[in-house]
Amino acid sequence: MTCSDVRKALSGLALGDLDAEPAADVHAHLKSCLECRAEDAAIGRTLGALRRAAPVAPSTERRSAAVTAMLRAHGDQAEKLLTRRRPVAWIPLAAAAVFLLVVAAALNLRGGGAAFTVAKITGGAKILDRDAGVWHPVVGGAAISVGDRLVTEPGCRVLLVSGETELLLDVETSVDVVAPRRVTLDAGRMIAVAPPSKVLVVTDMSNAVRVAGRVEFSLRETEGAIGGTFEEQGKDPVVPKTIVVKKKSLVARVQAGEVALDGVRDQLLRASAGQQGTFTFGGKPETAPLKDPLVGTWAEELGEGR
Amino acid sequence: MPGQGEDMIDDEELLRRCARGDAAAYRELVERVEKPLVNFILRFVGERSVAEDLFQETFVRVVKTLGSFKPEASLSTWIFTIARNLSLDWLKAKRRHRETPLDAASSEEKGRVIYFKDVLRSGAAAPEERAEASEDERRVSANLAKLSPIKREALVLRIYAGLQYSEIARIQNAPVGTVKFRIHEALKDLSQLMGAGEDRNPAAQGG
Repeated sequence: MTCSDVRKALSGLALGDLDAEPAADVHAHLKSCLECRAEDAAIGRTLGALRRAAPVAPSTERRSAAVTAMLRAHGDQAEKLLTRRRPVAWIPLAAAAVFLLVVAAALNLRGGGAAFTVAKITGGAKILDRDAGVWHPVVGGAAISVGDRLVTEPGCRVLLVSGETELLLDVETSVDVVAPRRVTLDAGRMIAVAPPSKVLVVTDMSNAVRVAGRVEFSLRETEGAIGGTFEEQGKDPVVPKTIVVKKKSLVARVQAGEVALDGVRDQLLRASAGQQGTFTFGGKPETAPLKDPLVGTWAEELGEGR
Repeated sequence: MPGQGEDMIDDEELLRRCARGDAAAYRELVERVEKPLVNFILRFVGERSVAEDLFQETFVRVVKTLGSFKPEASLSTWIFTIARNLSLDWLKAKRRHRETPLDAASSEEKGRVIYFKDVLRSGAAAPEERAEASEDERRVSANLAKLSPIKREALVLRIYAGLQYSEIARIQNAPVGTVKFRIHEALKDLSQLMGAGEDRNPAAQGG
């Protein structure tokens, strides 16, 4: 190897990126070449200085400030989604109201008034009191407030009402009421009914689904695997552990009216009666004809079947 | 690297909680990547106050763009990509506004060079080690700033963020071979720069 060749390879040698054979050639050259050896030593000193330079970590205050800024950003996002496409005259009032609600939600506080009332219940269900961190049983006529999480047990279905808006929760379903007209589906299945004049927002991950009609929501989970090898010069190929990725989708089966899915990237999906809308986490929204003609029949025992 | 391998599924769940505005999830997300992230930003942009702002802005951007996260990429790679883009934007804006060049020596003359340890925690080390690290940091910071941004970024991602070549390649949107070349060149250039500094300041040489 010439001095020029060796000097090109010295950084790679210092970082351990050379294959065994060229590394041996470089070492052999260094034994007999004073100038290249000096350059190798200089690179070694530089790498040492880089690694010795004190690693830093953010202060507690900085970390807290970042978390606070994230909460504020989340509030801004939620406000943006809720106020989008509202009639112009409503925007200032809606924005102000939503801002206050979002701040309350961000602070993990329960809202003041009831968002829904339990109109019917067919078994055991519980509600999480976030302030005390305890669960309470749900009874007919109970008020469900902003900030509450409601979970139905096996054999229990629940009908929640708020004016003309209804939520029918299937068995083993969990929902969070994050604002008066905004509900997050955590698990299970539910039917949301909302008039066009009072759109209801159902969320999953960062997607807001605006409901004007009657729509059944469920969550779907599929598994995918990511595998392969990682090869680095001078080292044996590494076969990393296969990563199993669970993809979760929010499925909206529209029985009447329509839904519009708004993602944070302004992805839009509208599905009308007789269609099914699917939003997959990290994927693109899709629409397809509704395959199951019996969708929503499970709600009949609540007297709210199709 | 945090946020990889077995943590992959948890990453998705963590982001799901983040999307709901869960403060505990935000804190966990920050804690998972904060150390390599702040080191990367700091060494890349070279200014403490800017690094702190960009550190925070990175997480704000994470919240705003949760929907763009692809589960196929690791969470840390995604966050570093955001931090990198914000840092590059800042560097470009700085060049446009013809502010002080990214040269710690010239900033030092104005008495505003900070080496971050006064406000950022570092590992507890003996006084002599801290003094040595401080000298290393001064020289490293000053000379890193003289590298081209693309080389500096690759080197800093490797040395301070501890990312694999494949992760850096994803962040820089370049082949792994190109990334390796950039890092090797960056180390060679830095060595020459630091050697030139030693020549000018023999007292800085350790022996």
